[in-house]
Amino acid sequence: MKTIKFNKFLLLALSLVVLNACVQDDDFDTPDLINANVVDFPDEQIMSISSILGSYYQEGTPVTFEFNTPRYMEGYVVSSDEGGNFYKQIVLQDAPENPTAAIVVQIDINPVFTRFEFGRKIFIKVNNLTVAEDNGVVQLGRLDGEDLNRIPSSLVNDHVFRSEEIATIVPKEVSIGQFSEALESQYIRLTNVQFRDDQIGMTFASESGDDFDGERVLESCVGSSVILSTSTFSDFKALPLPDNRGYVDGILTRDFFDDFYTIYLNSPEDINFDNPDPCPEPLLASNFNDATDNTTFNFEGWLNIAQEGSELWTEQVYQGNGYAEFTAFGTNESSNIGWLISPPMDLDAEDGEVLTFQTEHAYPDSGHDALKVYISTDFDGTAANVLNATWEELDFTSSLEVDFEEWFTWADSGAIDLSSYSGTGYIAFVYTGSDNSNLNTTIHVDNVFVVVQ
Amino acid sequence: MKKSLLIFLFGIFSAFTVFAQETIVKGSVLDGTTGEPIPNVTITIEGTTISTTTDANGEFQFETIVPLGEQVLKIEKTDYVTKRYPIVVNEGQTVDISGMTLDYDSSDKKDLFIISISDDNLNSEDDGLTDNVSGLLQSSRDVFLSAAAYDFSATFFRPRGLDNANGKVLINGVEMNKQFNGRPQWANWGGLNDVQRNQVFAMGMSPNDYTFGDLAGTNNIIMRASKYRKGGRVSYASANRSYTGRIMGSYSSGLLEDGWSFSVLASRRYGDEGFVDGTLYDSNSFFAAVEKQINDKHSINFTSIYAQNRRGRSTAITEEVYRLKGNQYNPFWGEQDGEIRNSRTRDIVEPILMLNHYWDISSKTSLNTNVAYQFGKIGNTRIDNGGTRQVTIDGQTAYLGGARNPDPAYYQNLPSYHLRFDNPTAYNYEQAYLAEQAFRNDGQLDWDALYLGNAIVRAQGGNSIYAIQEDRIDDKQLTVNTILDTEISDRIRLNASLNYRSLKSENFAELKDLLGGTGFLDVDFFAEETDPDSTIGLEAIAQSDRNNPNRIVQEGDRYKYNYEIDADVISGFAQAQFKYNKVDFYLGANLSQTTYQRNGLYENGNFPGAQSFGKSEKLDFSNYGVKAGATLKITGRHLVDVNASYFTKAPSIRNSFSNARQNNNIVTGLESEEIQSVDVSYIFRSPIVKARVTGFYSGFQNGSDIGFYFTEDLAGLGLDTGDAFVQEIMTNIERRHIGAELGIEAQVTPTIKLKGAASFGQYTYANNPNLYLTSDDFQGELRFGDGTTNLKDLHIAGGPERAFQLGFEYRDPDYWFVGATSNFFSNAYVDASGLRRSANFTTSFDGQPITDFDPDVARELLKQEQFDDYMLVNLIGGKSWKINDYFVGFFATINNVFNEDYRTGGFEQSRLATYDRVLEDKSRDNGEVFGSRYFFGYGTTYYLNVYLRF
Repeated sequence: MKTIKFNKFLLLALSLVVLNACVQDDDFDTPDLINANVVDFPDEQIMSISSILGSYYQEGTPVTFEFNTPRYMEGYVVSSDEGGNFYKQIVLQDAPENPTAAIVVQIDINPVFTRFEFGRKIFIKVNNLTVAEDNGVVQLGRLDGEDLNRIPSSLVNDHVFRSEEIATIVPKEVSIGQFSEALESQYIRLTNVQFRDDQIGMTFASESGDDFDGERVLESCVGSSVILSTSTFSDFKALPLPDNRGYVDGILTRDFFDDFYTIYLNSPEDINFDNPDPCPEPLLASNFNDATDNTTFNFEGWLNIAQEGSELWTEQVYQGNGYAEFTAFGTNESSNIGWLISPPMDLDAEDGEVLTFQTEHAYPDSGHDALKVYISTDFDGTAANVLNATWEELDFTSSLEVDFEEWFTWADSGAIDLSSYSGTGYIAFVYTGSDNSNLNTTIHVDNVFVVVQ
Repeated sequence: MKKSLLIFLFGIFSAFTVFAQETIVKGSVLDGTTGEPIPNVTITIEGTTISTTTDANGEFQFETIVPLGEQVLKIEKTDYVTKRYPIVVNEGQTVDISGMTLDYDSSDKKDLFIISISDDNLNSEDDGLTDNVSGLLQSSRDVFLSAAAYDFSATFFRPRGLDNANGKVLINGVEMNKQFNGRPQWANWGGLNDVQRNQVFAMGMSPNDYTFGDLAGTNNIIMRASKYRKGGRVSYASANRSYTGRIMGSYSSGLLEDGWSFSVLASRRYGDEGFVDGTLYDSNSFFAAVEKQINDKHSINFTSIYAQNRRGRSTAITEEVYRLKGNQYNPFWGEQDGEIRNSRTRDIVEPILMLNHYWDISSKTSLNTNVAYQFGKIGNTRIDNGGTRQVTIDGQTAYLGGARNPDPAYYQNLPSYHLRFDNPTAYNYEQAYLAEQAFRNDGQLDWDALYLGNAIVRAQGGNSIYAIQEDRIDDKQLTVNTILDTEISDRIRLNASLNYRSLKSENFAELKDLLGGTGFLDVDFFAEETDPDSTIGLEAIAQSDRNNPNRIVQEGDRYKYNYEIDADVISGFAQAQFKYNKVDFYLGANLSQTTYQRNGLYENGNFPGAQSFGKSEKLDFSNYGVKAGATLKITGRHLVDVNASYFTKAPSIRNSFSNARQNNNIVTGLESEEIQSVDVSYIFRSPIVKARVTGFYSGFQNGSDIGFYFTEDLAGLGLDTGDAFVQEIMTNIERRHIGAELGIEAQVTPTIKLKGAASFGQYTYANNPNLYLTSDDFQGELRFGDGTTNLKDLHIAGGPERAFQLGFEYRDPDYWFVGATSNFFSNAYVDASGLRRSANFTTSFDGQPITDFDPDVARELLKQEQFDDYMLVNLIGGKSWKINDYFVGFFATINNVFNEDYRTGGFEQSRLATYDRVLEDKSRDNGEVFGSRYFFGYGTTYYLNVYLRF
């Protein structure tokens, strides 16, 4: 009897094991999702970022896309909220390298970097979205009355799509002086910059006066400067600013009030300051920021001479930026040659002198190469002896070469090596033109620097 | 019925026919179905405390003086239906009532408590709101307590407003309450129903043989191999409350001829989800006990319990979430690979081994000595969304990453958040609508999003952003005790015990799952430099363990926090019970010494050096208690019972260290709780009606409690600095529990029983407790105003204060029964926020009083919410058959037949805690963003059990 019951029990115990009703255990397989749900759309449905920007620029007011068929804007993600410096937005540009257009997409998700990562090519379905200017830059989002607002989180899956492509984003190397609307929202690199002396010792954004953003001044060795903004909600707000000098990669945008250009970092790692030497004292540093608008150019130490005609170089100010201008337009003279000669420089003190400056133009006339740049080491510095000195022409990149059609866009001259010269040197900017022969292109010169590298 | 009538007649006949010099009452008890003698049946002469038990042959004889005249014998044994036999005792005569029978209680009602009570306890959040003492009560035969155990428990009704920690659970005389929070951990012996039928319950502070006890009563579960009746049982249960299926098999040998006895059980409970969505259930329990009766005097028993229990948890939700998703909604789970995956599971495995020695020193004196060892782990998982990577520039470190709370019911995902503005725009309405649709249609955790995030970061060389963290408590506890029971004289019985408990508790977080990542950086993503004068720096502050900075942890590694608690308790207890004809009384006292010490194994970044690392101050509590009580027997039918006690109780470990995960800090102003209690009962017993009415009062002083939450509204810290994750420490809590309870049962016909129960209580704060906050987001202890919070006269949260039951039971002689109860509940209150009722409420961020403060509005804002009344109707029924040597039966219950929607509890969020902000939130046209969170009761549920017994 007893053994029978034992057997029964064993049977029962066995059945417990066999019948072991399954409950999902806590060992789940890791799904491979990095490229899950990636899509591609046919070319005819694709819109470029430029065309989206164009739609806005054309109207100047918010434009809502109401296509009957789906249209997708494609772009590469260049922002990352991993460090908390971006909040509920994606910045897209149209190419991994040398982009021509970029845009901000407002999106009501947080975090973004765990879905739409840096370098990923994504598509934004623009139907029923609105493009408008917000805080000084063009953005894509959802219309909220007169304003732009974020794509609601539950619509993100309907509007934002990941492609399979993860590109290596190459920051676009630009100088501060080149900042323009066309560069807005692009991922740029500024080289040879450092934080201004009085900023060293401060944190990115946790000083007592920092409200929403910490604004720190970055300056280049060629004298220009820009604000680097960091959110007080960022993960690196409490880091001290690095000293030294080097390059910075970040997104160029406007400050909240649209008053000035500023740079936002994805990560403090995007600052690479490994040159411990301070910017050498430049031999020449003229940003003309003390210019008085529409007056004859008379900066101290400079010579302003009309070799032909009566027109002289003038001082101009646009949006707070001063520069030198020469134009033959309106002189009614058949020949205008204007010299703008720098103060003297000691070319013997250091080796490796480099000249940089910027030019821009307007009203260009075909075939009119108005500006030449010279150096002289035997000039005595007196106006009377200008033509007696030996002037050697220097090659540079002018804005006319960069883009003849593009007006009022600063172009870097490129680094002009002066190391082969010695003695006391003078740089001359010489405009040659004529109002009568319609060779009266307007030329602007700014940020004339000679630095030792 | 016929049989008992025969016995009755036989008994009277015997009384008349047998003559002797002595007055003797003796007899024997047999199993009504098998005819085998039943040992260990308790025979009591009603209205007295005279009782005896049957021996191995089922025979008994009263050895004390038996009162003369008409008496009623009560014959009871666990698992059997109690019977009552009228007898007439004449002086000098022998009453011999041999051959009385007891029928095995096939209703198996006890199974219910495991599913309806302890399973809920398992699911609770350690917030004290959902913990319930009912598990204690299921062995009680008291009408009121049965109602509380079986019908009131679903709604977290607490008899006398008492917490689980106010009741003692013992197994074989060894205390099982956890030192961490004072509460029994029911999961440790869950699924062992068949071998837990031998229970001795002492109501309230009434005397028990083992321990001083506590206010809610003492329950000793006897799990000795020799105490089980011979036979086996196989059962299957189906339900939709917590588990969906249970299979259980057990076999006990009974006492074998060679003195050995053994008992074994195995069971499994399982379910993908219970009534609440996503609450998986996965539990396996095993039990084995063996006992050797060495000789007449000595017996040694070994009992082992292995009860493993894994549960998917659920949580309290706001009114808004409830409206959108209903009372089954659970935000903790989401689908992965088509399977339900709950992010918060609780896994408990704490096996118990015990050795018990029973020594009958003489016929009057016995000594029971026990050694018990319990070890294992409790693990609670959660999603850690604070994964970062280290970025260093110029030798300075920042931690990049972290993600927002992935909770699908996060406030920013709900319509109210999008409509929080005064004048919502069309866009806001669109967002709210879309949020509502998304939440209604899905509203569950998006596991894929977590995996994708980690995969992306991994591809870029980073660490996991998301991981599964398991908060672990790994306890090792040794208990040694010895319990003496001796009859000094016929009228005086002495109980005494000595106990020693030593606990080593390891507390740490373990990285359970990297969710596809390669590692997790063990730093505090939320760390901030709070002390402007500090030169420590963020990198150091963020460290979980400064001795191993910036550690990247792998699955199975400890991280975040790691400390040990040593707790030792030595206690002694003595009690004397006196029995006289008209009055019984008892006196009891205990003394104990409790020490706690924390030993930090990590040096926390915010609390360098000895603040967190190494040993804390050693806490030492000396406690004592006295109790006394009496039962006045006005007649056999009318009794008055009085119990009074005064005792002090060491605070639990949980309430002693203000934030044990981070530091060695001890609660400032920590003291032992003082408790006074008195209850007076009137008990009426007639052959038809049994009734008890009790008035009770309990006072508590010097209580302490710690809460953890995030708040945005700390006053006086300056603008934009009121956000903090805080520990709210309340001390000097005085409470008053006062009320009355009633139970009445009438056997109106031999088959129909009517029953009624009522509880009418008021459980309130009797003072304004002290309140302070600590946090790693600010320095030191933060106090507001005079340092108190205005809780006086507010109700203590925890189930309805009033409960009423009417019910009936029909028990057919043909072995089937049905019953129904209707239960009405009212006066349940929300758990009031202490911070909102401190001076913080009236203070603005700059420390100045809030302007535009309207006291009438404030009163309205702080009025304690009372939940709606509700009625729950429960049905029960069953039938059993005897087929050859087997008993087959089933029983079933349907709870909440009418699918009543009701709330069992809730708490105010302290996230908003100043007048202006609470007013703003409560005034929103489209609902509060940070409204109270509620626990909702189950809708209609069933439980069906079929069994085979042999």
